[in-house]
Amino acid sequence: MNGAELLTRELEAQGVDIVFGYPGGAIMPVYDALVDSRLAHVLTRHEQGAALAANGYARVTGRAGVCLATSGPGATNLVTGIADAFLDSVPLVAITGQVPSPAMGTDAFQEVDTIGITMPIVKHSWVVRDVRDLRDIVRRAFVIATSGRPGPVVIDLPKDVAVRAVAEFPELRPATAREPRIDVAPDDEALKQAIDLLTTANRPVVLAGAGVALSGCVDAFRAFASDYRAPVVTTLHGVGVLPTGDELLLGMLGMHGTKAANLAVQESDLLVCMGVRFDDRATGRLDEFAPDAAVVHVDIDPAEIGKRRRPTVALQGDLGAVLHRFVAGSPAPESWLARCDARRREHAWRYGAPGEGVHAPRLIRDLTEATRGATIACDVGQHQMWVAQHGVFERPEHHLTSGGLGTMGFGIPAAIGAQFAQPDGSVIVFTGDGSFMMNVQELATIRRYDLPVKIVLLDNSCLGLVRQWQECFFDRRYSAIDLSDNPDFSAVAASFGIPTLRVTRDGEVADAVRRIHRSTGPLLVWVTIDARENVWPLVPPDLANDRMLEEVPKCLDTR
Amino acid sequence: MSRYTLIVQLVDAPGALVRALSLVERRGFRVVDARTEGASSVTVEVEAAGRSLLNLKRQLENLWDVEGVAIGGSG
Ligand SMILES: Cc1ncc(C[n+]2csc(CCOP(=O)(O)OP(=O)(O)O)c2C)c(N)n1
Repeated sequence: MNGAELLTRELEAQGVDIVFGYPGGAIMPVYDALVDSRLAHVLTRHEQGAALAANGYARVTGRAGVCLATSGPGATNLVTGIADAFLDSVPLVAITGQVPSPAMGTDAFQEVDTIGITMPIVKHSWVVRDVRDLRDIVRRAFVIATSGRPGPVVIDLPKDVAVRAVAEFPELRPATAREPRIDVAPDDEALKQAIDLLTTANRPVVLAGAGVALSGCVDAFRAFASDYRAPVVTTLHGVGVLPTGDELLLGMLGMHGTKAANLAVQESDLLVCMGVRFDDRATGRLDEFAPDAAVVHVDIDPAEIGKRRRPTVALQGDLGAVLHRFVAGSPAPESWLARCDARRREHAWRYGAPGEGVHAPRLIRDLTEATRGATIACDVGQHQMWVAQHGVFERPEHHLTSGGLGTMGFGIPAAIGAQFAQPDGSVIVFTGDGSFMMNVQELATIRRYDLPVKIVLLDNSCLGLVRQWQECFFDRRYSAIDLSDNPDFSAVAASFGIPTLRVTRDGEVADAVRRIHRSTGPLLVWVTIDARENVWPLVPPDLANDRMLEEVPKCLDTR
Repeated sequence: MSRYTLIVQLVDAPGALVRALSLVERRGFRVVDARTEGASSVTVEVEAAGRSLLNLKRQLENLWDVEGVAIGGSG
């Protein structure tokens, strides 16, 4: 047995059944070992596709996704997918080939300092210097990627280590990294203070973020919410913690949040924050965010507590343990919930857009309503915000979105990973004409593995979100947003062997929804939308969340 | 601009020192001075304006090859 075979065996021992990757010189011993291993390998057409597919796989399963690439350009192509996993707390194990140890540091062919390049965007990383360390490194890689606040790790494997012979069962040599601290019980005194605040608040709001789903606490959260009966708002990654339409749910807060959510938070006297990191897109102007609210902040990551907003009560630890104790508290005042609910009704989305053209928000609502329970991936741009605002979600795990990094090109590979994670599940991706082209090569992966992914391409012939900002904040000085020379997307899809359904008028949407629902194979749904459509509401950058725009401002230049 | 001293206990591992020091800079502190004591401890003097030292300490403690962080005197 050699190092590469040991690696594939250890991956199997970790319960890995699938890896996403792309071969090349320095990783060839591992590709050779794959031939005899039980691991399924998915060949993407770009390493970024592999990293994002593993990322999507991990988001759906909660288990670490694994991606493989060669040294040099293979490793650098993984970087965006690793950074995406870092900012969204996704467990990912990235394995890169490296030039042979004696050549490291000599600018050898396809040598880059993978560990140095990825250091700021991983939880931890290793160069395997000695094959005897490999077992322990792999074991720890999975523990670190999945424990506490999940995230990516990198294992850089020099080629000479990969081909070095090892004993059949080398003994475990402890690798250098401390054992994970899995201390998760929150402080009792702080818990008491938090429960007091919950009990005495007049205008409490519960703010739920990515941590609710990451900690596997969606059901516990729902039990708490239905007991406490305070209005619930979510971050982008919290979408789905309560099912769309739930009477307590005011929607998403922040830059493209609902009026009901943003106003409730701004008026609240208590904000109960669960698994959130007070991202600037969520808080708007930080020093005017929820100005009158005491803050109870529950998070597994101590470094998030007080990073952007100092909490009144900090509960560092496992959300499950906290929720369990919160359930015993008394409900929030009915009158406050009624006020928030009235505002929710007053500002409910309206879908009666005039004209013949397709109204993207309504299409998103109708399709996600008809396919409830499907996994919805999206790319980045206006369409991503419309999905968060108008999509119908039963659970947060059904909503795959690149929140922290905002990675255009995320959608299709993430959907591929999601489809591998649930071969019988329904997976739909909403993309824009800009984002689609960023990882368009992965249509070949969809075709090769015959994945029944449905791609809804909302084509406005421009980089819509950038266009909207130029319209609102740069005095309509449009710069580098025109995509009117896009290719014929149906010809592109056809060249990959994927059929296209064309939708250009509102009257065609209902039939398209039915056909998407019925279709059993991959499908591109190419939808023409009006380039002038904008995402509303919009909180201009660096303004408080109650300063929501609902139309292009007459004069607002925030440069 | 405030100046602080941090004593960072490290696992004796390749890259541990670089990882700790680069995190300090990345989180908005300037490393003014760093003195190692063997491979397992480094005393770092940092400078920053408007940054939370406690938060930096927690970020450092999150690193897998950091055993612990103590805050020394500020100047
Ligand atoms: C890789 C990458 N490059 C650039 C950006 C900046 N950016 C954010 S949204 C956007 C436009 C997206 O256009 P499109 O995919 O067509 O979606 P739309 O906004 O039109 O719905 C751009 C360029 C980004 N988020 N990611």
